[in-house]
Amino acid sequence: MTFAGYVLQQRGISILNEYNEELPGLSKDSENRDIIPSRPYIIVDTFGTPTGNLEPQWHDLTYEEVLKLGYVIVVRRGGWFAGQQVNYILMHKSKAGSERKMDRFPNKHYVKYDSANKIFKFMGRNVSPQGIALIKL
Amino acid sequence: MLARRDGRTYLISDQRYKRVNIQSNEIPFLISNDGFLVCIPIGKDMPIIGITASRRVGKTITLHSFKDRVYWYTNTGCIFISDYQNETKNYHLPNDSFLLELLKITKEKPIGLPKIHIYPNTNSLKEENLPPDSIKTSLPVLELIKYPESYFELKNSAMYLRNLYPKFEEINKNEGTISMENIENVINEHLAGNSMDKKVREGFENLKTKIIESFKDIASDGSLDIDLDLKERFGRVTTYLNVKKDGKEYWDYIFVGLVRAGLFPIFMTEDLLQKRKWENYISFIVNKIFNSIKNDKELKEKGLLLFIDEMERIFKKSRKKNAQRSIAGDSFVNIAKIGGPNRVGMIYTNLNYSELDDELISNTKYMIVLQHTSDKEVKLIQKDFTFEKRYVQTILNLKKLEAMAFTKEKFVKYNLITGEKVTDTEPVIGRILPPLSYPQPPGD
Repeated sequence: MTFAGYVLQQRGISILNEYNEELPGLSKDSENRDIIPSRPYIIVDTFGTPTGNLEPQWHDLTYEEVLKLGYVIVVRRGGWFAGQQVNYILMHKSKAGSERKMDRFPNKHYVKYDSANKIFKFMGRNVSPQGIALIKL
Repeated sequence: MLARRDGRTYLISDQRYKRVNIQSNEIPFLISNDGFLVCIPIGKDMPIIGITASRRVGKTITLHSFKDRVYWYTNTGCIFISDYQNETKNYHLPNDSFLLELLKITKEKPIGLPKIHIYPNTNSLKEENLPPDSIKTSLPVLELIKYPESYFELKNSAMYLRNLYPKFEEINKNEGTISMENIENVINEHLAGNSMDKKVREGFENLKTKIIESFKDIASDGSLDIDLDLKERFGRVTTYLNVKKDGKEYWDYIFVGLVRAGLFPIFMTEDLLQKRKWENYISFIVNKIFNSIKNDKELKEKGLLLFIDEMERIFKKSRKKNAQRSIAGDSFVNIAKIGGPNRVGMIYTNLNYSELDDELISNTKYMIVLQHTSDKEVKLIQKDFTFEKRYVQTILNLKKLEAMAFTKEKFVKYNLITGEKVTDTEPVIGRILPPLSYPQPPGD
């Protein structure tokens, strides 16, 4: 769901077009994941609370689905600590449905520390110190 | 003064910034060099605010920061009329990097805007490039016939087309749609000069051809709400919305409906600019919005501000001798003249002050001037806003994102240290407040 759709939902307002259809981007159906890639990135901290613009459905996505949408997971720090966090997120996701637990990222989806650092510099302060981010390539 | 302790800096208590409570009808936009938060009040009349600057010194950023604060702090509706370069695609994200130190002073929290992109439906628009929060719209043919002067440049002859409205309405009622064939038939049949005078008859023939050709022109672009076949070919488009709010149901023109629902509609003109009659399109939209607000009690009370980037593009160098103002320019000047009491105002940016329209400038109550490189243009501003000559040099020496604001009415100022509120008519110099939503770097 887009931010506009979220705002409408919060205010209890509904909009339909001339054909009695819901407008794209304002759909209340949270299953409609095609909408998500409009966002260039969303930031998720260690405890699964997004600090980006909106809560919703990232927790429901599995890792494969995230990749399918063209996102990569970027961690702020290298080393085991970052790995732990990523595992946490993946475990969190596996609770939501998928049984599969990944212990390693495929290399092509892993952004190394240096470049990630640059990206975080670009993102600025809104990333929590233990932040993990999903970035669209 | 600042005291140092534990390697951190603290403000001594009497120097600490107070929390100032601005009223819901005030738009803060600047922190002045003498420690005031400067606001523009919205009274019974909606303000016309101009922003002028050289290239790349913060003109668009100023407009962005205005739109965030108008949306979140006031009850006023907002519409962004012209996004020429796809700059607004990240407005739904909160600002996360830009001048956050300044936001600390005003204790503001970055937040995105619930924006909706509205694309004019054309045959060159590529569906796959559209973001998911976007709607396609088209020109409603019945509205064009009912209010021909808002789209066609027909001058006095517009009434002949308007008189045919009942006939088209009947066709629409019977057949559910109007086809190009219907338009041609009705115009050929009923728009006839019965005069004996040969010149008058010729005039009518020309008028017929002009109107039919214009309709064909728009229809071939795909931007006319006509023929079910065409509708299918160009995909579903929306012109009217059904808004359900507080137990009531409204049928509104798309922009007006989104404003009523409390969203931030943005009209995307990147694709439209390649079309021949894009100014007419903008003119139609602006007139339609203006008339809808004027005739709606609830929305009139709420008020509306239009945001226009690069206004001079729409006007087409109207200060040059004998240069004609475009039809879109006419509709904006109309709002500048009579929009105030009808609760429609606007905030526009402009690159070359000398190219702005005289009538627009004389109705602009607030002018925000960022750094200029041309001495000539600053002198023009000085002449229009009658401020002291010493400020000319000040404007030329301004740094990036610094601004000087002039008014023909008054500013509301809050002292950030004492919290005291004053009103003032003098020019103010300071730093513009950063936007609350994500500012798109130019060319990104």
